[in-house]
Amino acid sequence: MTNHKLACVMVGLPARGKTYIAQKICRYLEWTGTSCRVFNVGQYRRKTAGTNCRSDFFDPKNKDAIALRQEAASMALADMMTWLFQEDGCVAIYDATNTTHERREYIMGVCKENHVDVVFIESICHDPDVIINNIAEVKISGPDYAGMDPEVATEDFKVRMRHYESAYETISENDLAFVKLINVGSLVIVNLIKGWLQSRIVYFLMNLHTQPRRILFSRHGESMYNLKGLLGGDADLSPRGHLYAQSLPSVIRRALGGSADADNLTVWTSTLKRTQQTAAYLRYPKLAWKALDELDAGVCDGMTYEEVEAKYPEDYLERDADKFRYRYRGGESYHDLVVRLEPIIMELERQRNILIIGPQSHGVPAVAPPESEKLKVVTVQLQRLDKNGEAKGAPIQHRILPSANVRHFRALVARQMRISPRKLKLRVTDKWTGRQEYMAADDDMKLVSYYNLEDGQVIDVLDA
Amino acid sequence: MTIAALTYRHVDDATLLPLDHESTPNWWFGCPYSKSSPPPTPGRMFHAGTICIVPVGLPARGKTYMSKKLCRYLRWLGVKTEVYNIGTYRRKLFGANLPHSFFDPGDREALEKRRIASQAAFEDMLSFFDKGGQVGIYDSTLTIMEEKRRELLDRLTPLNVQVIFVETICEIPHVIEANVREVKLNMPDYEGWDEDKALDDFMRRINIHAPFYTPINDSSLSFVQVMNMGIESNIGEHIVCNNVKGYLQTRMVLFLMNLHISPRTIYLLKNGESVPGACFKDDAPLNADGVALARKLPSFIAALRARTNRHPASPKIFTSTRSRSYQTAQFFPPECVTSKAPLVQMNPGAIEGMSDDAIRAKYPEEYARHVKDPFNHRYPRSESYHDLALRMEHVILELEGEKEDVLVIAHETVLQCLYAYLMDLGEKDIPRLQIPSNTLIELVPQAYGTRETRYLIE
Repeated sequence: MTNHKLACVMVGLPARGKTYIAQKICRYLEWTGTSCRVFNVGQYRRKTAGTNCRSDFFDPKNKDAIALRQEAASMALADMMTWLFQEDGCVAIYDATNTTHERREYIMGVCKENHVDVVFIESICHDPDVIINNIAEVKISGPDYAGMDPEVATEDFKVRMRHYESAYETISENDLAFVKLINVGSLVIVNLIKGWLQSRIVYFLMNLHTQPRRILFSRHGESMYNLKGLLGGDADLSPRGHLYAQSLPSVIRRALGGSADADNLTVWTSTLKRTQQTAAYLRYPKLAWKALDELDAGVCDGMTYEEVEAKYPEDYLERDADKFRYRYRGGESYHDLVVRLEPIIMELERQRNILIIGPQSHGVPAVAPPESEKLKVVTVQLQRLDKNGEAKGAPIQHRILPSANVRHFRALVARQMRISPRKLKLRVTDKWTGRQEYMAADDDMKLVSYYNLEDGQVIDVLDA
Repeated sequence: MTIAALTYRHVDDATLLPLDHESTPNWWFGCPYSKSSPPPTPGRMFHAGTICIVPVGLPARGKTYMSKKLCRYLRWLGVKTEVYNIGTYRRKLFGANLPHSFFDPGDREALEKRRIASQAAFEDMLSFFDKGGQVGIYDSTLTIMEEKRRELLDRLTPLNVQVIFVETICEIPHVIEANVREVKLNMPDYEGWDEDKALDDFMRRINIHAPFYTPINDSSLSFVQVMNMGIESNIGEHIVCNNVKGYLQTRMVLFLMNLHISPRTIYLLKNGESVPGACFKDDAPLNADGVALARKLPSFIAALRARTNRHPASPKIFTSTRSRSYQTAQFFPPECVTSKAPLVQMNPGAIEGMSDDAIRAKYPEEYARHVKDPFNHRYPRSESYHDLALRMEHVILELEGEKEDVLVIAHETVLQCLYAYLMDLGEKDIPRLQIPSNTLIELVPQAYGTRETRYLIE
């Protein structure tokens, strides 16, 4: 986005939700395309001082411990700077208690030297129930107290908190840019926030809530265009799609089942007929959003993947190379879709239970993928086999995204290998079980990731 | 299992559809509000209910400025908003030339007169809500008094109106004086007065109110406190939000964080001409005329800015992601130019390239509906102006926060929306705005309006 680097520094006593907030911000920013990463000082402290730190380690009078904690903090800060400048990160989140003026001054100094903007995010909580809940949910099951009796652990943690409380200095420096979230956002104090990115983060924070809720996703039922394999359009549901719509209410009831607010559900659809028809039998409040419409396929609207491939072959390969940013001619890219969906995400954060009925393209951006499952490009080897099952020719390398469409992949392979798509058989051997499976020819919408393809995996290509 | 005929209503963006037990099978059920609440009308957004925003603060703290800006922003989002300025009502009922003793909240008689004016405004606001309005901004100086705030709350809460107070606090004398000079002395109250005498009178008016001012400190209320609102500072320097819940309310805070009154200029320019006969989806490049325009642009703008004393010679440029848009900016230094996807023209959908008569022939019903409501209506597979405005909201907020001069190069539909936003025009005017080609429109936002100049590019 811009060349300005931003560091969000969390401030607050333990069990105030700092790490939760940090992770939420990180996920939101990553989703909008801004590279973001959390640097948790606790993890560094566990590396330098081990995981058996009991409450006396956090006593402000324990000089040796203070030295170790300072070391952990500096290491985390150094790593943060490296990531920002050498790996071209945009927003780094420094997750630690940072409860003293001294520590905050130190951080400000380092960031100013490196020309990094700093925003402090302080989480303050006066409600003892919320704190006890946080401790029970997160701290006791954490690595510091692994294998300990929960009551002993809770007591130890409370003593640890008291050590922090004795040295706690809330942010009172009015020349710093900060946001104070008090009592889970019921009081928010904003100071010296400048610019688009910072105000966006603050706005996101104001919309967070910690009440439990569920988000349900459903693709629209099969449409007439799906039957013919055409892209885009505004088709009605096919008969099978109507059956799906009719069975939806019972599925939803089962999914929400025993939860306390099972009746508190809102249904979001797009303005396309197929999603509205899918929601027709649901008796909940419904909202139709233009922003949830299918990815605009531009000139390719109404064509099959094969036709697209025939008419615009370079585009077809380009799409394969970077599916996230590739923009259909006269249409949109997934990245544009993300921008389009952003106001919805904000509204989503505010809602309680919600069911979203959308098209396939929305499954990928709307569900922010955790770090480990990010879209990885996988290179497989296609090995052509002749009638006797012996290798014919050298294996061909092929790059695919795990989220690619099976039909699309088959069409590509068929073209490359000069085999008719109807006769093409792709055989995948599972690395661990040795089981062989043929990539389904008729279930064309299944994702390639279903087959758990790994880098370097060999796929046999057979000409039936 | 038979599949019953499903009837579809034309659904506006995020409109809550009403509970309708009486009519024939209508599959759009569900309304969390009681049956007695009126059916939702277009303009009610995000199921947010009715909201009354009450600016609080001494005179010359920017209440009216903020009210107007908020009103403009919310209207542009498609929310029916109206500002009720008590001063205007007071002027209508009791005239403009009043001694400053009239404004003494301790003077019973004068207070009674002001109460009559407030009552008139309040009743107008209530009838606005009844007719489907969503946000009313109640701009009165008397809300500095705790009892007036309580009174407002007591009267509005039983009517299911959410009340949010926005308090503007400023204690820096030179900022207040600058505010007064820029804004207050041009008011009808001071027509014909000598400037220094008017300033003195107004400062006395402020001081008269000061003893009656109780800052908001009731934490059960929903309020926003904005500090240091002045001409030179960033408006959102220090903001306290208490109990601010709701989509529109948090949106309002986001808007306030991006507001500033630093002077800057915004230029609007239509895309250069592209190859004719191309359809919307083909990304057609500029034709010869378009390229000629692009060539002339940098020098024309540099000369204009030199004449009008602005630096630097080339402003920041926002274009859309279509070729004809960023190609019009191709002769500027590349670091000034940013392509923004939300600035792409409105999708014409099924009616692309059709003349009015052709549309009337092919889609007679749609055409009739379009004529009734051109801003909200969507042709098949196309976008409405409302969708376009929502899509561009990102850019609008960025523009608000931008302290440097900006040139926006985009298609006519996009410029219509931007122009309407900056000139505070109603949504009905947007579809009819004419943006001529080869003309640079220069807009200078000022305290209570925008100054416009047009330059023809030879």
